[in-house]
Amino acid sequence: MRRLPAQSASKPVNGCRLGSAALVLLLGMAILPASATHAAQAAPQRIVSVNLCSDIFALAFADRSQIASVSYISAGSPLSPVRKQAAGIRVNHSRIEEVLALQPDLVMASAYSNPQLTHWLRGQHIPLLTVNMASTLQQVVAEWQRVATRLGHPQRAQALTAQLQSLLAQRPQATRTVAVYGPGGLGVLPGSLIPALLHATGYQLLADLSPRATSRVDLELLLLGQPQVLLRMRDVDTANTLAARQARHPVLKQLQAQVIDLPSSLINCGGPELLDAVRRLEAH
Amino acid sequence: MHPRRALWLLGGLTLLLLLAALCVGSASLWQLFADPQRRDIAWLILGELRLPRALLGLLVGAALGASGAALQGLLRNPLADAGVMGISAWAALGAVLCLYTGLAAQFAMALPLGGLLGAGVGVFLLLLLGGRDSHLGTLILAGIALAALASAMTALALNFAPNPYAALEIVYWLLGSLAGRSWVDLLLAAPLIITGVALLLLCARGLAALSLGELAAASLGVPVQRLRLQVVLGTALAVGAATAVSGAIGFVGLVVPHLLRRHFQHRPGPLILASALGGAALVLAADILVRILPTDMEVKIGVVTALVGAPFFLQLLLRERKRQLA
Repeated sequence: MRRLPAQSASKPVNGCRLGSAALVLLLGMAILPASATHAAQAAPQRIVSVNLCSDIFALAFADRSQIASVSYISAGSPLSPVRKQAAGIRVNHSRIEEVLALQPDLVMASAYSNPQLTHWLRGQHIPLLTVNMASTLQQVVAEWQRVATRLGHPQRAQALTAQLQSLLAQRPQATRTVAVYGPGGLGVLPGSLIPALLHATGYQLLADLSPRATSRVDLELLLLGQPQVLLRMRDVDTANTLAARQARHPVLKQLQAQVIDLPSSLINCGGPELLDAVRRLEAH
Repeated sequence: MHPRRALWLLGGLTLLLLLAALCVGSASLWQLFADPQRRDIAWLILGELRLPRALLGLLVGAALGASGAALQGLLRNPLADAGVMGISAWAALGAVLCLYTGLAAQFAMALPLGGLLGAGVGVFLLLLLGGRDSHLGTLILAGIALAALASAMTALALNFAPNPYAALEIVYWLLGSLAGRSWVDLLLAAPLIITGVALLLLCARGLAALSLGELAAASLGVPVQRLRLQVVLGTALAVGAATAVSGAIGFVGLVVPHLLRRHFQHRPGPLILASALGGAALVLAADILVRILPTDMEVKIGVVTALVGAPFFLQLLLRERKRQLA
């Protein structure tokens, strides 16, 4: 029983139903240890979140009354999948003075947050909760549980995990080959959750489309790979960038592949919006 | 070497590099063509990816080479070049403004027209600041200041755009690249570039007379004002449209006429045509090089042309200074 889940989760190898069932089991097991360790801490009442990803987690797992402030990106940027939920909450720009004035009892940040701020917070002994980026679905679920427990609502992570499990159980049986093509011609970035997500939803990711160390997809290799599905990651609503212009290269229409559009904001942070990404991937 | 022979040689070299550019890429076309089932992929790669890129390199190079030779003839200054003097930077600014405000999404021709307008403003300002007085220092300083201003405004415009890739895209606009170009870009730019280069070629006779001095040219019946306008318009068309689809590539218009000048007895006429061919050859060669170099990220073409061109620039500068001192 032990070998299967490890194989199914980390590598985007050709999937099978057994692997998927094991994955679901393992997602459930990831919850248990986390809830035991953090249960003792008191739930924060003045959360200040300074990063889009930590905003998403705060809005998903804390009560609205617990949140004192979210980052300006959540409320205003087209990159934010939580614009509606963030509306009306005070925004901050991840500056030390702002955070100090808000008198937080917990600051939530991500691995990419302003390092001066996080360094200073540690010096001031203000509690800091860093949301980590996940590259496997087990890590995603463990992160949900860890954060939700710290915010005082572990049951919310459990409910979300159960939803994810039931969604993944509905994945289509057949496996199709897929190539990822994003703005600026970027493919799968290192450490991304995309390979694990595609594997869990019934796709086999074409590897080695980027011959150079950057993740830029080589169009010649993409044509050679002949994927059955072209997953177009989209960032911004506006088409007015060079990156978006490059993502519309006319040769892509010559690929005999089904095109699926997916906003990368549904995947970037590994929050509950991931369920939406899973639904969309399974729907096609 | 006889000028006619030199032209044929240059034409042959350009054609050879065009063919070489079609053979460079990550897929092996020979293998694909050998396999009847995958022959259509080979045609796609050749026709939709490599051919537009190579043709675009050819046109962009021709635009930069011809405009360099014409500007040098008009200003009677061997250091004039669209890239070094900031005209490309202004063209990039015009294209950037059209792209990021969404104008280019509604009306595709807005992108090259924006480049054209930007380049036009750049040439106009350059002539205003450093044209009349053909003192070397004035022209170079004016060019440097104009280039810096346009680059700064390009970066500023990109920083205002809601675009997570702004930093990467600033590099593209300031250094130029042909990666990922398609027929769409080629068809947008080609008519304007060809018109511009043709206008510059038609200046040949007037520029030959102008090399004797403005008064002498006027006494020969050359309408100097109209000639000036024609060079400005030709440069704006060629460089503007080229920059709108490939970013600002520097030094091509400086290096190529400099290398070719003595083979054409310093006559600006055939030199413009030769520089168009030479510029095409240089940009094609640089594009082949950036595709072959095993770097993590494809090197921008402007990096290669600057590495070749900057030493030329310094050498020319020292020579001109010696001449002016003597």
